[in-house]
Amino acid sequence: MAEAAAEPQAREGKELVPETARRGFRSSLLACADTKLLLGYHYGEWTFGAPSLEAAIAACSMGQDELGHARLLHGLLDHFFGLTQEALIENRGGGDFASIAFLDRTFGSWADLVAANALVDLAVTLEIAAFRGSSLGALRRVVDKLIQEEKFHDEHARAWFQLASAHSSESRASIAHATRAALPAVLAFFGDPASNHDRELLATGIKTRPDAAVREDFLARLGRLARQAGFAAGAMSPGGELWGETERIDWRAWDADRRRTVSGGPADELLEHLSGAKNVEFRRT
Amino acid sequence: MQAAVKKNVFEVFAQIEPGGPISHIGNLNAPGMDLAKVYARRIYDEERWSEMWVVPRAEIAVAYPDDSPAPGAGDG
Repeated sequence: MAEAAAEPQAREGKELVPETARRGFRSSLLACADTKLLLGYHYGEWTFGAPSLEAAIAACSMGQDELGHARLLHGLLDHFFGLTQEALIENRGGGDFASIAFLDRTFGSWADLVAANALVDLAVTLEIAAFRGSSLGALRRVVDKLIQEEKFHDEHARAWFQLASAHSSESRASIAHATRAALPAVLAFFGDPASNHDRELLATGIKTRPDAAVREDFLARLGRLARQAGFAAGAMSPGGELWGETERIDWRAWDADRRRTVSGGPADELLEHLSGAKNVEFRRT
Repeated sequence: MQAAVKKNVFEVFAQIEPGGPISHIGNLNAPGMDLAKVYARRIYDEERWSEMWVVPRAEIAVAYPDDSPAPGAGDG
């Protein structure tokens, strides 16, 4: 399970991020941290209302992992960009968050949680894996830990996809519907594959794999999963990529700092819980 | 209802040392084998197990007591 955040800056001096890569690196780290924070919230919320006590324990456990990872990434954002936790959680409105838009609202059903687990969680893990072997030591040291702890999340998602396909046509349809709803926001997170938006990150060695390749990997994994689960074959592209060619994303609306095409952000009631606004008297005593 | 619950019960076994004694460490409810394995790893994580197994309770055969009749016993 996730441990309390390491403080990378305590073990070494500040590392400099080349000016040309600062914006892209910041947005990538921020999108991963914000998405994990929101995932942690949603997983935690579904500790109650899960199909069984065992499912509740699994959701709670994944939530704990995600919040731990978000804290770890906050440490990196502080290390590289001087962004304090106060600035990251307490002093931002929904429109400032860079989280994947599928997490903006409370989940309506368990199917939404499974889709978030299978798509959003996987997308962020693959994105973090793209920093393996990074030229930045503080980042390089946490990547493998983050990925290793996500193994359980991946197994959980795959098991639920398989189960939904075997259980009933209704459960299969509800998971397929939630998957279709989550996909555009997840593809927006990877950015336009034709844009080379992360070329400076790659050129400086901060990142070792381009988003276009990560996106391709993501679609291939999701395609396999959906095929095994018997989802909506009519929505599959001829190449077998799940909905990859049928999605039309307006990249002119892409916000490079938030990695989304959808305006707005997490709902106020979610942010209120995340910021601990109700318990401000207990903060930093 | 009771039968449906029992169908989804998995017994969990584990050993600490490779080749050491296998212990029954608990059970869990899961709608299928894949999730049973995922749940078992998270619920029973109190030790660094060398191996862990989940077995559907419905697949466990009773070896004792032996209720089969002895030859010549009873009315047969």
